[in-house]
Amino acid sequence: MGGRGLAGTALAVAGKEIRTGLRDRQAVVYTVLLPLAMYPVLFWVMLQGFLVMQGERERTEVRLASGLAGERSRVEEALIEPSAEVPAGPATLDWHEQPWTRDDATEALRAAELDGYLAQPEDGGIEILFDGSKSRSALASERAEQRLSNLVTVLRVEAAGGDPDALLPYTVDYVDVASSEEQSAFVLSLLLPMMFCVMVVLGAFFPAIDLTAGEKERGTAETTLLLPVPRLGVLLGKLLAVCAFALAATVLNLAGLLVAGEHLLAGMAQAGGDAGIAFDIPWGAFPRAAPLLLIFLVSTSALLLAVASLANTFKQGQSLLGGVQMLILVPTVLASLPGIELTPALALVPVAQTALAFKGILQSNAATLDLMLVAGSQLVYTALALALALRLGRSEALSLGSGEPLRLPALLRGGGAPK
Amino acid sequence: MSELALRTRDLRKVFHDPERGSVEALRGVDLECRYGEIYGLLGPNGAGKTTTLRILATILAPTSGEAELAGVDVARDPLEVRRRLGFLSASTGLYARLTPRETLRYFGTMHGLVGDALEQRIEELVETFEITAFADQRCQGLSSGQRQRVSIARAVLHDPTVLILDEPTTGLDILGTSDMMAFIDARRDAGRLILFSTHILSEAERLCDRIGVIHRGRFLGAGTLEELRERTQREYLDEIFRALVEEA
Repeated sequence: MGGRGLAGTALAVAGKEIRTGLRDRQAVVYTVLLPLAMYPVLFWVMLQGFLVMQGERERTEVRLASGLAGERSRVEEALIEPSAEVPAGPATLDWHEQPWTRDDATEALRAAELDGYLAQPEDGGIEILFDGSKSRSALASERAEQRLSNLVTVLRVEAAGGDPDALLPYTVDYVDVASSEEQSAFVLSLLLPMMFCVMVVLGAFFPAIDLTAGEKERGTAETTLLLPVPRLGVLLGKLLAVCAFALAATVLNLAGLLVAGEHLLAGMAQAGGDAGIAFDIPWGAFPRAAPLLLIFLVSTSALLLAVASLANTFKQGQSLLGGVQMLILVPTVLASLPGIELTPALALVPVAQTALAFKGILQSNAATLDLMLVAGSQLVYTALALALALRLGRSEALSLGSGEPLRLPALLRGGGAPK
Repeated sequence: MSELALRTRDLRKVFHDPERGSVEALRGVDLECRYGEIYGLLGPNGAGKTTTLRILATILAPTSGEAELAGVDVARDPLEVRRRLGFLSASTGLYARLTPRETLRYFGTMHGLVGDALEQRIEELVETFEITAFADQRCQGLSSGQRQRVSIARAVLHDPTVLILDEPTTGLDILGTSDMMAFIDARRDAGRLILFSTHILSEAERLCDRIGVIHRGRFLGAGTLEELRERTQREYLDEIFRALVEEA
């Protein structure tokens, strides 16, 4: 009876691992169900939260007090009795007839008995005192400032001898020359690269442990070593399976994120009274970024598989990969910060290079040379990760899980099992 | 005398332990086994039986020495050795999330069986080892006896000429042990070599055509029970074993 070739073996092993993986409740939850359900649920909760907060904000009554000398000034009138020039805000203002001293007001603000206080310093103008650590007080200051700014315009017209009633109302329109797709691409470029890297790691995390430490724990490592096929084919098959899970988790996650995000933004725009905001996903950027993203997916899967093979139990694998997860996520988050762009130097930094390249492709400002540098160095890192995965995967001490202490240099030096 | 099925010469294995340094698990094992015989490798726990069998099954690589199985050098062509060998041990677990039928199909595919030939072979094994009732249940829900039957079917799926069994009755109840012994007898009658390790002396006495004794990594000698009795002038296997250890 003849055996199978390397590619046939890898595909057969991957097929079996994917099938058994999909029968594992944990893998299905993390790879399929969570991505499908998480974002719609999360974003629905966010939208509801936004609507509740907005309604709450509109209904909130803030309490102001005045320390302004003399009769009730026009400032005070403007604050409590809205006119055509000074339109009313959504909240009412409590007015305290008895003027407060500054010290009393400060104490009352700290004690949350008062939300805002108008004072008149000696050098003129008006001060608005508030407690920035209290949301209601911050809201009071915001509303007072809004109304006073309108009043200031009226007072200026009067001071110049003009007629405030003749003041032509004007509006300011903002015209964004960027297309809705470009605007969406910019917003997504701050979020998607990070989400992509996170999803790849999360998607590969459990399968990588399951196919290495999990096998040892379940006592099937020896069974796999007995397969009458090249060990290299078995390892490649396992890597393929991990990549497949990572890819499925990532694609489902990103699809869920984009669809749910689109609905969230539309809902928020409607709630905010601006139905004109459009969210156009820049689909064209994805095929351009796909080769780099796939290389990252393979190298990350290989790295996680290699590290997980050091563990003898699932629990040990989780703690080992937890560290690797952080090593991948930190540069990803840093690369996602606004203002950090792809440069030739950053194009060589593992992980960050992928996030920055994806960001640049989404924003259409990545230089071709930089992208080529990213691809070249990514391939080198992938080759190293694969070599490490294959080296450790073929290590005799690791393949059966001897329970001996984990010492990476010794393992790398040590002899491999038969091919 | 029948053809040689398995031969080792001065087989040695050294493990590197970070705490204890180099540990010599095998210090020169010489075996010669023929087709149509049951050869028992006898020794206490930690004697080196499992290491020897794992080297023969290409799970471990020898540090030095030679091993040949079914005419193939274990170190030079491990892949061919695995194609000709059936191996079963207590630690050879079944894939919990596959059914017995899927397990057999997976291994059959890896052995190059396809299509009708594969399905026919699976059905033969399912019937022979009385797996039918649970052939489509996942292995994780099977009893230890049922698992053992599936494991045996998996090990003989490709009709290997050499069968290595490492402590095959560990964890089995009386019926399971009896079934295993019957299976070993039947394979011998079919002209296969069965090399099995045990520390249960009654099993070795009851089954083996020849017995090899191993202790602390050293091979102390081999022969039929009668030959060993003659050599040591002892009647029972436990006394024979002790005499060989003292002799060494």
